[in-house]
Amino acid sequence: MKKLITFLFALFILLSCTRHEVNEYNINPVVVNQDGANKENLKSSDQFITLLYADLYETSISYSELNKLQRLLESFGDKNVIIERIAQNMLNDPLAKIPNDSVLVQDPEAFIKETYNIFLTRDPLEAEIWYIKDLIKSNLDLTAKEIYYGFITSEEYKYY
Amino acid sequence: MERRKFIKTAGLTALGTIGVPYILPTGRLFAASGTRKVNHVVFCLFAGGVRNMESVHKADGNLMPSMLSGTEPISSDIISDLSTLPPNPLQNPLQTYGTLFKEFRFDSGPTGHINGHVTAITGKNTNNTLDIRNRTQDPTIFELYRKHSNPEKAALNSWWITTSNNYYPLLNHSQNSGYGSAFGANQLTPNAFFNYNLVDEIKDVWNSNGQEAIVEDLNNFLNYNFFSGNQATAHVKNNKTETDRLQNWLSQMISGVKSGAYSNPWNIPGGMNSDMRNVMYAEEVIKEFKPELLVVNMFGVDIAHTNFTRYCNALQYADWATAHLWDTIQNTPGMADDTLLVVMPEVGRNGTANSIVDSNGRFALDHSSNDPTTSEIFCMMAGPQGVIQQNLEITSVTGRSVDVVPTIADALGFYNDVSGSLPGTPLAQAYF
Repeated sequence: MKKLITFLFALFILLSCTRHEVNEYNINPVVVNQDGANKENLKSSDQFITLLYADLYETSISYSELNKLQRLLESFGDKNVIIERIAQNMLNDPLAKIPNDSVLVQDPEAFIKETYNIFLTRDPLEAEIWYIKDLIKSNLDLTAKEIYYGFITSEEYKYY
Repeated sequence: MERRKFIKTAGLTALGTIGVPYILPTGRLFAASGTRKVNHVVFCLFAGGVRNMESVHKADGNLMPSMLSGTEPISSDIISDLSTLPPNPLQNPLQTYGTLFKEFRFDSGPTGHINGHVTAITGKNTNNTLDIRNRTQDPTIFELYRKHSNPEKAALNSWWITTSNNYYPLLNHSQNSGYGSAFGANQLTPNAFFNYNLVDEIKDVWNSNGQEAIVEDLNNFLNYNFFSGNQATAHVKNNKTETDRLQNWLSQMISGVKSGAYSNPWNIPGGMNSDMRNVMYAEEVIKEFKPELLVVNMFGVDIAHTNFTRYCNALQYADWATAHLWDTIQNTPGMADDTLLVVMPEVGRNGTANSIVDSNGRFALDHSSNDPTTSEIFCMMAGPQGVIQQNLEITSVTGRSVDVVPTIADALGFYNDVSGSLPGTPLAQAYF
């Protein structure tokens, strides 16, 4: 009888021990794409031109066009000087896909986010949205073309 | 104890007060102390491989009458295939305006074009381990000049004008951690860049809405955020004012290209060759920016690998172009009578010909490291009277290609700062 009571007591204890669900809040490994700090590789001249062309024309650059622009970029030591000129010429091209300036007034935040995604392949930080929004608000003559130019000639655009 | 501490602290403070003003932004303790001999140096790499036999020894006559004194007749078997160029742009041959080292030596390292260029521009010998796909580890003359001049010099003061985009553009700066792109030269490959069809791609200038300053603010904002945790620029960079000057100059040059102004301004019968064009564009840089240091190269004579007569012809073109370069320097206010011109082939050519024969029965010439003649070159230094010995010919074996960088450093007053890192010495024989 004593053994039976001991057995039943042990059984009772065992059955009463249910698995307790513990909420664990681990952080999954995700790529944080919020600032330019993870871009450490300088684009080669052909990468830079190919991407610039694709970003502005939404199509691939032809081999002959790539060859021409690459030669120009390789023939001049200060790449910024040539990038400025290439960008100016592309932005002056009516075929370049530049948003209508009305978007700057209607939805500047969406425009800023889209521009960051096109050129810097990341979402802007809140502070970045605030700064550029303020820049747009305080300079009503600022155009989408000019903002695009600012992004294309930025240092971050040269890296991936 | 307190007294000791006080004395120690006071001593360190005093030392700091004395020492700090002498620590320059470059990290150096003292400014360059040398006196300048001239304020401008142009280094013309008479490159492509030139054998002394055809140049200063005149074995086939004086093929370089614009640079070398003498009227030795050109060999009759090749003369009919040589171009007739306009008369010497100078009143007298270039050598009369300076010193000619007839027996100069490329004394160490493989005698390839790139090795020769690297030695000429870094002042260091190379060996078979030279990485011809990457920038050199040793600082170039441009970096030495920009870093050690006092005050430090802007990029617009130094230029590297090269005939080809094949490796040579990389010589505008090294990957040396103490120097690098921050001290690099502006580099231009004009034969590729100022191509009639190519310049259409960059001919338009910014047609902004008058918001340049705002765009600049935006650009600065983007750069500030990016650089807060990232690396420095990997190419030479001019500041805003210099960039604006460059852009204006490029616009002028592109207009000139489109109008045909640079098609053949020297009126060379049959047209200018690529060496002449490269020198012509270097002259445009000289006229516009009056750089303190400009290095330009030529390459046409390398046709010697396959055609001896055309090699002799290319020598004539290179000779004429070099004389024209000196003429332009002497007609450029600010550089006239204040410029040292150094002319040197990067390597020589073999004493023994290869098996390729041209239409005149002449055998072609390579430049192999195992042929001692390949190390025999010349060097010419032209400069102001009273600074450079005029019309002096040094016929004994004197000077090495590693001496050119120290000579330039000495001329521009910073040799004392860099002498410890260079194997060569200034070519004092050419100076008064």
